[in-house]
Amino acid sequence: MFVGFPLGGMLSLAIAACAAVVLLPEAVEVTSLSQLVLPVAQAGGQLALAFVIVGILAATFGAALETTLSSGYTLAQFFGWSWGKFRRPRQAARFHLAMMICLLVGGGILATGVDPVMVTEVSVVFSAVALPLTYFPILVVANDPDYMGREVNGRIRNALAVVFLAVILVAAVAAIPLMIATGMGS
Amino acid sequence: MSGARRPSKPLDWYRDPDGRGLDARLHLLDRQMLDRDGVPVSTVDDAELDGVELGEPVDHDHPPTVSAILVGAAVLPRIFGGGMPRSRWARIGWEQVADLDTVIELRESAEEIDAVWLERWIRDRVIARIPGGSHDPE
Repeated sequence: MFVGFPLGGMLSLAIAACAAVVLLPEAVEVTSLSQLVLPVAQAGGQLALAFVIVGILAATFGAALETTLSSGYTLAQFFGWSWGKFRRPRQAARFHLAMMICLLVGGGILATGVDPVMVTEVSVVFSAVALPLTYFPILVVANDPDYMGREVNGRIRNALAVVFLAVILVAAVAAIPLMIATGMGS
Repeated sequence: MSGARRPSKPLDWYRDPDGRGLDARLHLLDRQMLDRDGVPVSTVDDAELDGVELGEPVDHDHPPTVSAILVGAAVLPRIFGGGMPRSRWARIGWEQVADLDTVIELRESAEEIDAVWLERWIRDRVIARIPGGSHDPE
């Protein structure tokens, strides 16, 4: 966790920065995943193409798994259902059915022909808006000695947590005005 | 890290000779229920109170008791307002409650609890019919 999150965040920032510095002055806009394949194929031929296809498959398949599981976890834990991939599907029936329905709904949204990049941008913006709503309850629970026992938040941890809460609140408040002001990058 | 900071002033409604006061809204509603094997059953959607009538003053010599935990589609009235008819709630008698902590442990198995009928229905009608639906995840 301490390696993965900072590394992932740094790499995302690096990609965004490189794209802004290298591609933007050339008026190159990467709007779909398939555009990513072309330069790789030109530079490295068939072998590199196979490599990048495996990479794209892993990334999209992983994201699909993660999104499906996370909707299942959210619904099951909210309603208190039996959940988890460590159980047989039979032993967590509602959880697995909820995941199937979410997968179908996701596929259905794509089947309407909507631009997937736009869907991603909108959902990322709204997840930023919703972030304080998930962060604050966790902060409350972290202060509950019934749940946390000896690991309950002290003053220092709470002070740090409130600083982060302020950052998240600023991001949440700024998200929608920024989305409108920038026209979502268009 | 320093320990928990206890409230410096005891709350008025928290006064209780054994120091075991519980707030039904805080410690009961929305808590996770586990069956006797530790399988998640549901969350507590509402509680059934005995010994109190709507609009009448509470008799402090015979305080009302929680007689049952109610489970149902409580999310619907929460979003759309109004109430759910009493017949739509499933009832888990308070005598089934073995332990009240951050989770509520029940004495029954989830198989025997009426309130979990939907889980069993989906399991038997949908999940069990899918190839691999009973497959052990290892």
